[in-house]
Amino acid sequence: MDTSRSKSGLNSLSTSSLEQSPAGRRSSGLPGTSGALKALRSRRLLLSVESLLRRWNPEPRTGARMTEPPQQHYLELSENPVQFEHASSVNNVFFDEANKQVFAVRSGGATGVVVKGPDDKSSVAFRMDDKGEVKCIKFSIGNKILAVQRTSKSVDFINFIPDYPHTEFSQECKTKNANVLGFCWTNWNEIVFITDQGIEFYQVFPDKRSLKLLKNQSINVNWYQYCPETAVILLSTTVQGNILQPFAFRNGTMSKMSKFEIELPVIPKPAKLSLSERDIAMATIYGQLYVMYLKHHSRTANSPSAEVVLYHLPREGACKKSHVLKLNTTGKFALNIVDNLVVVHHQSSQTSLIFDINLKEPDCAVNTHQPVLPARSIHPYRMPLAGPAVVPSQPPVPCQLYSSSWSVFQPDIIISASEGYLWYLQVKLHPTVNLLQDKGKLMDFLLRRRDCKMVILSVCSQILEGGVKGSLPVVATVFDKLNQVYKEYLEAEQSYTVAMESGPSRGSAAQKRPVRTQAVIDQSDMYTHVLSSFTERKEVSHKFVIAVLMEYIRSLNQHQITVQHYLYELVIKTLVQHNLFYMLHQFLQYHVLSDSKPLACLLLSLESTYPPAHQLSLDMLKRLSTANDEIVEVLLSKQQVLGALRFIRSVGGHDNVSARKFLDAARQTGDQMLFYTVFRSFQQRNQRLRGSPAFNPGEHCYLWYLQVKLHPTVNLLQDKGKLMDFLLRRRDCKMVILSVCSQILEGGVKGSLPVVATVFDKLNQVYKEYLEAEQSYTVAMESGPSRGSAAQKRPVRTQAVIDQSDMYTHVLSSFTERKEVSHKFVIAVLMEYIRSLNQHQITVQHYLYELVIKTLVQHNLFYMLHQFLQYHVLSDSKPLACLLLSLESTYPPAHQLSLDMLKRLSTANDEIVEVLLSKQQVLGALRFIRSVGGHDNVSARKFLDAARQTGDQMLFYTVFRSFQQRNQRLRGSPAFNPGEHCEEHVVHFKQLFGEQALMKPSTV
Amino acid sequence: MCSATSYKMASAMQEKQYTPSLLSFFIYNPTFGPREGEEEKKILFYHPSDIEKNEKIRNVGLCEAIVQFTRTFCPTKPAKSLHTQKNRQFFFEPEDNFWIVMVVRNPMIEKPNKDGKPPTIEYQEEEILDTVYGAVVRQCYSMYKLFNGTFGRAMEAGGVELLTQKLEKFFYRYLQTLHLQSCDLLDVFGGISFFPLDKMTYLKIQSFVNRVEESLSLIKYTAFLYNDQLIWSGLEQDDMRILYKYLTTSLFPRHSEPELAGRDSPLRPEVAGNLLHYGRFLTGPTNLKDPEAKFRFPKIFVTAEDGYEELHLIVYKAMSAAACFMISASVELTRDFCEQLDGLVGPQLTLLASDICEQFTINRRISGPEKEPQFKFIYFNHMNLAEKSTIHMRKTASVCLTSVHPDLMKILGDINCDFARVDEDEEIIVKAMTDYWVVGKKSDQRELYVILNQKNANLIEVNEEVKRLCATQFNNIFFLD
Repeated sequence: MDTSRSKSGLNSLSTSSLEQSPAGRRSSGLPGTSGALKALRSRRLLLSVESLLRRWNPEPRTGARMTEPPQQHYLELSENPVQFEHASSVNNVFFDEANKQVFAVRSGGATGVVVKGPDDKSSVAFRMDDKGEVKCIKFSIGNKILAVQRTSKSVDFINFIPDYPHTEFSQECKTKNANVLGFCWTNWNEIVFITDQGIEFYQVFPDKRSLKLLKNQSINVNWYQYCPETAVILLSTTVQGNILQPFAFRNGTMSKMSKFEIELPVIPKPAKLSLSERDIAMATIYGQLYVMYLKHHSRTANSPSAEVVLYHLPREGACKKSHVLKLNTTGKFALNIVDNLVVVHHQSSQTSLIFDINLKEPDCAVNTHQPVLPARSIHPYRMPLAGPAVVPSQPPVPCQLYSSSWSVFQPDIIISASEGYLWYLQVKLHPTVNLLQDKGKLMDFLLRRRDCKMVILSVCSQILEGGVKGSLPVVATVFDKLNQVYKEYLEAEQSYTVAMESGPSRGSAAQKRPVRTQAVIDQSDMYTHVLSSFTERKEVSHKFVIAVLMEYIRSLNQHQITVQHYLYELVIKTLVQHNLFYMLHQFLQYHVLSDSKPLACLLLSLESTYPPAHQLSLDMLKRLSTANDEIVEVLLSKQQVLGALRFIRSVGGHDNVSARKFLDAARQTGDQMLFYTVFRSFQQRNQRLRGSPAFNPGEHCYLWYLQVKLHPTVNLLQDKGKLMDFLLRRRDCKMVILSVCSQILEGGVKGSLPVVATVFDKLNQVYKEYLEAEQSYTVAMESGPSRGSAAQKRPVRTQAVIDQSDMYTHVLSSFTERKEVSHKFVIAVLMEYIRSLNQHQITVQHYLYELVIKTLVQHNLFYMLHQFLQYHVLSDSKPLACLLLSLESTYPPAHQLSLDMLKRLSTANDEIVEVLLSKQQVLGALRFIRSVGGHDNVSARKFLDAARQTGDQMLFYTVFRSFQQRNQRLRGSPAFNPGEHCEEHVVHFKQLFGEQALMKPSTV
Repeated sequence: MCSATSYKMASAMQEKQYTPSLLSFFIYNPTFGPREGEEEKKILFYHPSDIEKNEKIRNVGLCEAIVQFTRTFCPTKPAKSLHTQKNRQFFFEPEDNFWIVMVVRNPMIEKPNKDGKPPTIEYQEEEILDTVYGAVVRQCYSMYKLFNGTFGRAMEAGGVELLTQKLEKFFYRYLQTLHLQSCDLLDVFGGISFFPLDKMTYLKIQSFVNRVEESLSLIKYTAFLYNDQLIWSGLEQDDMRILYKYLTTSLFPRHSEPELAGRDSPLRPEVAGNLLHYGRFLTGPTNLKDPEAKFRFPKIFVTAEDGYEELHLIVYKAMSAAACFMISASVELTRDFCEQLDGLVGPQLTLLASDICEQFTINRRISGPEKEPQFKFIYFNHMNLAEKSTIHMRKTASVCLTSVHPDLMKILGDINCDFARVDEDEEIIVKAMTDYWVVGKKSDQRELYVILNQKNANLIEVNEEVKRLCATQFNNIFFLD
């Protein structure tokens, strides 16, 4: 009878009526009877009658582990457990190992089924009709189809695929009179029914709502186990139940694996079922499927303690008994597999043991294992109090560990159905460090664990820092173990790379890139986390530090691992720090520190403290054979130019070597013969290679051309501005720069004026900077050392400072005299130079002006000159004024220009007077000198001379009287001083005008 | 004390040739007897001891005068040697005012005359080299210092009396082991021969040394040798240099002779039931099981940060591998310790020795058939004191044999002197009277001397030949050519 309901998504379903199942429930607590190995699959876990109804809490309540550290608990429950509604009379709880889902079925599903998975994605809530008690409930993989077993004859299915009919459909088992023990999904649409008479393998067609039998097998079955990881079903057959038949499922096929027998401790008579499913578990350990059998020794047997026997179940081939784990006690046990460790929980002692089947036990018989670590309980755990009114401040209550209500599932799941918790069991590695004294064994153990890296590194640090006597062999063992794993990874990686390079065609099977597990501790890890900090510890003796480093390098070498440079560096650093140079020398002598360029460079840097390092470095570079350039550099830096040249010849690198480097070095030595030799050697090379001794432009050797006065002009660098920039930074650049300037000017190429301007600007920039530096130095010196806090250094005048005198002497003067150059260009160049100087606020020297004027005058460009002067392009100066004066004969206005200039100078009054007097403008001169207030100090004789020369008696009289008056005013007497040498003029005056014309000294 | 050491048959006449020999050896301090009549106090040691006292005083006085006289020309570098027709004197002032003088008689040829006249003696004044014998004197002092510390130390401890005792005790034996006739360039170098080894084996030795030093923390320094060649030294270079000299020229040869002797020879030391390993002490107790065994080891002095350091020298050998362990002399060494050392080192060293031997033979097989070097050469590196010679035979306690004529050795010495004068790299090629070519090369801190027996070779061919040698023998070092 169907009752349709409004649907919303997947959570609500149409439900169909359910039959009430007559079959008894399998309820089971944990652990049950003595020594029961708990292994329940998706059957109801526990139905506890106690109970207040707890409301469903969608938020997972996080539990808190108790933080008491007294014991080293190396096992713990996961921090974030899956929480579900605890089992009660109205709430049945099921667990599906395949999907790791917990089903809480309330009232047969009528009041809701809540499915909680390991993550939120796999959590579902829905409702279904109560058609009887649910015996088993599981989703297919991916939550596509839900299978529910309510009777012992059939299984019901509900589609959970959107757009598919949601109506339930049912499948009865094919075998007549068989009871369905349970079912397992092996794929999203493949399911296996296990009946007491065999197994039936079906494919489900959700769209057609029907199933198709793919295969079936008749066999008497007592009970079964399913390992979802490998999709293997294990059936217990025969009367005693100890013959186990595994079946493997994959992609719609079912294959029968070879059956095997579990050795029973006691053969019962008469035969009865003796192997309980609780004593058997299946799990994959280190990628292999094992059947674990918990063997309780009967009391009659000699060995009283229990053991776990592992049967290796390979995909193909026979199953073999492979490992025996000694428990050394009796009681109730449960098994988990965590991180490839077999965990055995012991209820009565409330402790757990761990076994590592790959850990070789030297003192045990082959494949018999003792616990790796002493028994410890799981880390205490507190659960937050649940309920409708949770007070946040309420302290969480301790959880009872190893409770009888616990169910344990493979591989690492612990469920407390009565409390509604699902935990994952975890291994903590840190506490194991102090529990296992044998560090070699500890390493073996740790290297197989998942999150081992940091623990391993901290163990290494611990061993080293402990500095316990006799720890060196331990250190060596640990390093060897680490490097063994490291090496295996490197090899795998390499063979993968090779396979990839050779292409997929050759490698038949697509090779997988090797996974780098945490156990691969490479040199960088070791360096970063252990060695670098260890070497810096003050309290450790350097002897031990070096011994440890050498052990590590030895171990790497032993495993044929290339040692990284930084390790060598660490060794060297440590040795150098302790002045153990001789030790270093010996290491290098035996190539313990492998050759490399960086190492050679490091050695070179040590030369100042340890001179032999130089030799060691050169040897190393030589051995590298790819470091010829470096050797040349080293030799050149030591000024061993010929040695470098001989070396590069001997290795056949002479043809390609940079000539410039050698020539530079040769010049630095100051040895002219050496320079000559080197230069000729390269010329010969050029001749041989190119049929000409000239250097290629790319070799940047034109400097040396000029130097050697060969082909003085080569247009190597076309961009003259760039050329100047380059040259100005060179040491011996002056002559070259000047010759470049000449070259540019004399080329006289059209459009070269901007180039000239650029060049001048560049030169003057440097010139200016020097002048400023010089001036600020002078100022600083004058103000005394007290003000300048730091003693200022006198600026060094480099060759790049090309001053006006240089320019004039070497470039401009000869340039202006060249006939073939147009005067226009000449003047333009000169003006550019003056402009550039002015732009850089450099005072232009007179001789430059002179050059300009001379040039202008030569070409009768007086007007041009006039204009220049008018605009003060040619700055005022006495010499210039004089020059102008001298031009008066050819260009009369020059006289005026000159006088103007002198006037402007204001310090040139005497000169003006001279000029005027020379022009017989005596009165003018007198007036001028009076106007500037210089009359009192002026030499009377000069004026009188000039006046007499004019032959103008009146003029002479005027001038004479003027000076007499001056004398009267100054000294109270018209007479001249003897020092004025005017006696001659006094006599002349008397002759001309009579004694009486002389002024009498006034008696006033 | 002079003795004719070798005879040579000349063509017709019977000529007797005498090699250089030790005439006298004395140590004095002029400040000990400055006043007249106290001259004897200056003399701390005089060999030969049976010389008349006044002659001793005269000889010492002469040396004093010469040194004093030459000091006026160069106060910092007084005379180092005095050449005379019959002999040559070497002066060395190792510590302030302490002078060691060695007088060597020049080699000479005795030509018998007819008519029963006394034979004429020709002294070969130029045949011996200052550098060689100067080095020998310095070596004498270094060796004394290795076992006794400085002169000054003995003076502090027990005055002149103790010093003269110590000098007497040491030099009486040591001078007998001086073989002046076979001194040559190698004495100038005072180098160390290193054992060629692959990296892995070397690291194993490192590991061994470190472990031993760690578990027997008394051990301060360790040196490791194989086949009389050094592999590892924890001592500083200069100390190792003289210790190496002692080990290879004195200690090892003394013990190798019994080793070479047959198993049943009485010379062979009792191997007391040590079937587990071949380890034994070369210094200290010969047999640990012997209840009378004394656990006394020679003491050596090495330089330390604050002057010198006195150490027990334990030399322990297993097969060809020898390990020297040095322990502070302030520690009393007990039977327990020696047994512990024996138990720890013996098996490991035995294993190492066979490992090294195996590696060595493998390497030799790889390096090809021309293991017999066609070249005769001496190589020396001032930087690490590494020396290599294919001229010298295996050294024994008694003589150091060379495979070339002494004249050639002298040319090598001359070239060495030339090299010492300048700082720059250079190369000297000499054609010897005997048709041999002798080539000396100096590159940076390295020196190489090659003797070629190619009568008709010209200079270019010789040069090529040397280049080939460098390419084969020294291809992994930077050797300018």
